[in-house]
Amino acid sequence: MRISSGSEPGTNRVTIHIEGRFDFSTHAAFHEAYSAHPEGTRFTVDLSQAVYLDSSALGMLLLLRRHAGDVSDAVELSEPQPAVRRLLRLAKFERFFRMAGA
Amino acid sequence: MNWRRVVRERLDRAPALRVLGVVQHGAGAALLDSLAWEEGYVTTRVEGTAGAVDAFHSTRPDIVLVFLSCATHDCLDVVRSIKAEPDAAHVPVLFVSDADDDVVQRGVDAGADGFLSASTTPRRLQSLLRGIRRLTHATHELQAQRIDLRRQRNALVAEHELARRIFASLLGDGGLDAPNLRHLLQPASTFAGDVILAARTPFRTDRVLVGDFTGHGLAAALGALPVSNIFKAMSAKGYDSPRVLCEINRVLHETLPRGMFLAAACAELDARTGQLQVWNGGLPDGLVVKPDSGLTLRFESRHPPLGILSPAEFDAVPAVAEIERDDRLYLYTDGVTERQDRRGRMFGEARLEEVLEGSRNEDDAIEGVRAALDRFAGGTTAEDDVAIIELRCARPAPLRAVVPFTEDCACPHACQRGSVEITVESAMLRHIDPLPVFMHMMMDMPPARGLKERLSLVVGELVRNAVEHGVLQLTDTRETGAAGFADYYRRLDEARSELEDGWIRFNASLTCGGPGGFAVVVELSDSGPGFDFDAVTPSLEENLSPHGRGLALVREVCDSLSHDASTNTVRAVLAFDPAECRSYPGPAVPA
Repeated sequence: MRISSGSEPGTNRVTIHIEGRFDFSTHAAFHEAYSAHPEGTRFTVDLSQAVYLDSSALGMLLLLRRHAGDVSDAVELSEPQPAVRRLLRLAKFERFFRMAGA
Repeated sequence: MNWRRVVRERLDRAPALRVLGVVQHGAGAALLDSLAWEEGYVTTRVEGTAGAVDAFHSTRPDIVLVFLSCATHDCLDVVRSIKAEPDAAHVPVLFVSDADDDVVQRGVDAGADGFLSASTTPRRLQSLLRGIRRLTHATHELQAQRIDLRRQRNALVAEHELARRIFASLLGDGGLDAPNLRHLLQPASTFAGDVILAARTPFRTDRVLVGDFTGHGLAAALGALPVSNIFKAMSAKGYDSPRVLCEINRVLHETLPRGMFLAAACAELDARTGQLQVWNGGLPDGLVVKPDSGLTLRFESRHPPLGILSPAEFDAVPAVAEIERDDRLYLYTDGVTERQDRRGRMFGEARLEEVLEGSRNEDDAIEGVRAALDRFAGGTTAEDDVAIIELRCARPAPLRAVVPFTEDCACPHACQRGSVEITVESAMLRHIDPLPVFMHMMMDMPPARGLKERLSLVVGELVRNAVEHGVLQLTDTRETGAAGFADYYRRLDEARSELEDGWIRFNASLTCGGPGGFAVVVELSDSGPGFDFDAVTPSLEENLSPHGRGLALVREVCDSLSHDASTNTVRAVLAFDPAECRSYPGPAVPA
């Protein structure tokens, strides 16, 4: 598992890249990746390299949503692989997040 | 080393020179006597030729002086007999008698080392012997050293052979005998720095790893041991390829000296779906060859070799592709393409690809590669290890039946059923994540294999629920936000590592699910005092809380989810048609 983040030039979005398994063992790294940015910052979570999410990863995404202002377009979930996309839909996450490439 | 000085010093401490004199009728007796009075000599006298050979054995002289005319046959026979002794090769035999050139020649032909005139004075003889004594000692030293060297070399060879056998049995070749795998591994020395590993995972995928340690020989081979152990143990437990690569990288990063690393490629193939994942860190391109159209896919190196990056920097995400039945994947080390011919030219990628394409309809393409390499090398010695493996996309091998499917179902559809159960006690719960173990057992029930995605969600969440809310009874603080979230997982780690009592029990059974269908029933029980099942399964629709989603998700992918408070058991039923059950069922997922 690897988490990295960076701002896209020309936008005010911060992108967080998730690679490999995204589960409870990654909460510290994930929290670190977004907490440095002020509340209300918009985020894109790049899930294209994530291979597995469990329910605590879903919890972490919701924590990020709170940090970003608790509105549905505050956080964009980008390009999940099919298995991950199915899980996000199961969890009704398209109600809470902007889904890109899904 | 100054040999002259060494010899001189040894000589001072050296034992006396043993001289055997063969005399007759008193001739030479005076000369021998003159030696006997000098320090540093031990003389033995034997009369006539008859007792000479026996005397040679009993006195083991450093030099033999023959005071006889060597014109006689007797005399030449004595020389021949002595020189025929295995120990006598370095013992000089000198004649002290007058002889013409013919006689001298015959004597030397028989084995004599030199002639002295019968009129030699005692002083001249002693001078000569002093010189010989010096030579003799130098010879003894050399002989002793040679024996010593030979003994050391034999010991080294024996140790090498023993080590090689220990290595071979530690590394094993388990997994490489699968019918859809062929490989070639030619070490450049006793020990191979290249490794080829293969495993069949509990999810019935084929996993192979080809690696090339920096350098070759013993030092390189040592690194292969942890790599092989991690690969085999984690693959058998059902860990996925990225986790196995992360662990190998971590161990090599921590243990290998700087500058030593493992260039490697790891591939995993699910022959049922044709999904192929390849991670390549520093090896030549992995190649896919199709039986009809030839070389169609390349997996180039996208990562640094294993052991270089820290765990935080390491990236284990593989490239993914789909291949078809009878397609073949090749992974190889640069020892193949850099094999040289007599003129120092390299075998090269073009030749290798030509051979692989040329034998794409042959049964054994690896044998073709071996033959082409041998022809090309023309008997030259390999500078580097050579390793190549072929993984063929073949119908999965018949399953090893771990679960007995002997009980006949009572229903009219004549299906079969079986079940597995395991209880994990506190001592194990403290240290291991039981999920891979449970999944391993599930995947040994053939019809359940196609349910992997749904089952890993169901079993994963049920296990976490049983451990966190059942056994450990953690109160949830995750609702309070990021701090509460971190606090929850800190307390989970603590409580888990201090767990004294408690257990979780996993039971999975396969039963009839109607005509042509099956149902998998998964039950998780725990030793805890019970929990409020309805409180931990809220609706997903409006749930914005960062927790409490696990069992609700399980409910979505199951046909039924229930809780028996009297036995503290959560029970999930998944019905499926074995023909189409790769992922979640249609109705649960909006199209």
